[in-house]
Amino acid sequence: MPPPTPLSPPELSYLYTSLTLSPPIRPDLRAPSQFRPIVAECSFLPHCNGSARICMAEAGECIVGIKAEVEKDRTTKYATIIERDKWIEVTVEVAGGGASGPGSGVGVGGISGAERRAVGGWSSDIGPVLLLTPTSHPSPLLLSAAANVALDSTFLPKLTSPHEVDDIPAFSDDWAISTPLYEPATFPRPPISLPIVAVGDNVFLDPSVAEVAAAEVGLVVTLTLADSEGNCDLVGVRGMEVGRGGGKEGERKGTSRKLLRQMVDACIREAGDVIKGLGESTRQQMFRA
Amino acid sequence: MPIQIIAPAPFRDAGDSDEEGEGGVRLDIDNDGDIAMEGDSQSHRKTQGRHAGQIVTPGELVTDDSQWMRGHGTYLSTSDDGAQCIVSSLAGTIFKTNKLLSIHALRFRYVPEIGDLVVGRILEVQTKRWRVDIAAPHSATLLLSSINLPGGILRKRTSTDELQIRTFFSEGDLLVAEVQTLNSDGQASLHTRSLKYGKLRNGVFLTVDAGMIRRMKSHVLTMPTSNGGGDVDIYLGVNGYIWIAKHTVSLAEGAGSDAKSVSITRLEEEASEAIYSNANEEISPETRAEIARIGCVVRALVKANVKIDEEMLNLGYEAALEESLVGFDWGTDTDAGKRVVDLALAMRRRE
Repeated sequence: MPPPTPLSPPELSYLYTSLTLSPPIRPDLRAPSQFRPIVAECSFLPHCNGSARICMAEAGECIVGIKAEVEKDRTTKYATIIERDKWIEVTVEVAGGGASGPGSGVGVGGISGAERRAVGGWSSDIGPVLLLTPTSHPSPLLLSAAANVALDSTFLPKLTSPHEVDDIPAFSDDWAISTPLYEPATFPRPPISLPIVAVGDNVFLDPSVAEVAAAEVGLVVTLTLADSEGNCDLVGVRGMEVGRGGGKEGERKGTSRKLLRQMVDACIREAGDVIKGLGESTRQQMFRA
Repeated sequence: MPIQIIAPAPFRDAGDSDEEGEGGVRLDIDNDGDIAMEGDSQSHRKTQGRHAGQIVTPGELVTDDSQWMRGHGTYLSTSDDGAQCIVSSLAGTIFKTNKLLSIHALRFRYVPEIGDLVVGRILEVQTKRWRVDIAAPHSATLLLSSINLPGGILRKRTSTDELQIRTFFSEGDLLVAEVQTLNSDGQASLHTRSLKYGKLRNGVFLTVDAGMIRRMKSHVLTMPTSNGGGDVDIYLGVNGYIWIAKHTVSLAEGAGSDAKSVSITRLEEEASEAIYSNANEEISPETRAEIARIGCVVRALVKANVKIDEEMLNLGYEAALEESLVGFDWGTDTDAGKRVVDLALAMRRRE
């Protein structure tokens, strides 16, 4: 595969002007806060505690499998410290992604601390998870949505060995009595990262590759559902690589706090529906049998 | 709802869905009318052979019956027991022509042919030529001598032109061209030696599968649009690259109306400098909206597996306008594309 070629100057200027209009005209006539449809499937990998498959336009397809591993708890004193050992290992495999593919450089980590499930001297931690997806488009939404669905569909087997025994714990084989990692209707829910770009004074959620090339500012905003009303908590905000917008090659304009605020607000407004929608579809698939 | 989440489609056996399409003919290798059932062992299926129209994957055994000849997309191999067999080299459907077995690929790259109108993107600038991406297995070349040079169409190429090659086309630029020659590898050489061809401006680019563009008399369409959008040009590259832009008076036409004020040679000079400009014209928001609407129609047609030609595009656009009168929105309604295509197909049947 040759490296992606840049847009031609007339193409870029056409796109930039269309997106700065009021109201803006996106190339696919989407509303600024409209996402493209995604195909989501969950719990289909037999050897994983939770799994998900997400297909998206442009980004392709992503399969995530979550395997819970039990390990000795050594951090009773420093429970809030992020430790590599404490991270949830999420294996991310992106179809067609080579060394320069969309999934390269993916790291998924968890900030431990919010909730601890102590099992005797053994523990498994789940806190608000910050997904460290690559900041280049179009991976963030694809990978975070896949991890979100996978976490949401993860079930942990029931512990059968007695508590407070400092020995390797034993688990039940019966998946009917397993417990979900994220209990239904509890909060926070698994998080999601939403890509957002600003062109002029307009902000666009789920930008296409061409829109990112024409954008001036890009953010990846990670949010988690805080309550059943659909309110969201901000987990993290990171910058996203964008094109050169309306400026010249190598020239980049600054941005105002107001615009950044507007971008984060737009994500907070829409994230509730997105996470709830994904959760709804996960639940339907989990209990369809 | 800002997002639509679709559950995966239930698994369907590929053999069933293609029954009414181009396939439907059984190879009937042993002529006993026995149908390979699901769950049959691999060895049983081998002797059974595959159906015409059935999907095969690369490396899959098509038949080991010696009465068949191998066609495109297959190769000869020896099976475990030493017998000659025909194996598929593509993912696609089986076709049989008398005793010839061939595989038609499900997805394929564009194969250039002389005279094709293609839309391409410059990949690389070399000393006397450009390398152009035309979605073919090999990138095409565009020689400096096969473009219109500024200062007269029939001017000789000079070393100055070679030095300023980037002022004509540079990396990433889009152009419309014609396939002039093919070399023995099937690598295309393009030319833009007509005022119809050249750099593309004032519009949007989209790609579809090369097989989705029907070959027509003319691949440059001018479509009148509603809502004050004016005329829109559509360059349907045979290679599946499409450019939708505001209609511009072609230089040849423009010469007729302006000829009284400027001499022909002078005009050529002026025109030639303009053809490599990177600046867009002033385009109204109405035109931009209609260009985007046509783009959506193209994508919807491709998604519904309807081949694109002038008739379908016009009908699709008409359908999109009708639907938009009822107050639908491409942006929020994800079924919009399907409805438009259904309406366009209904219109075609009525005609």
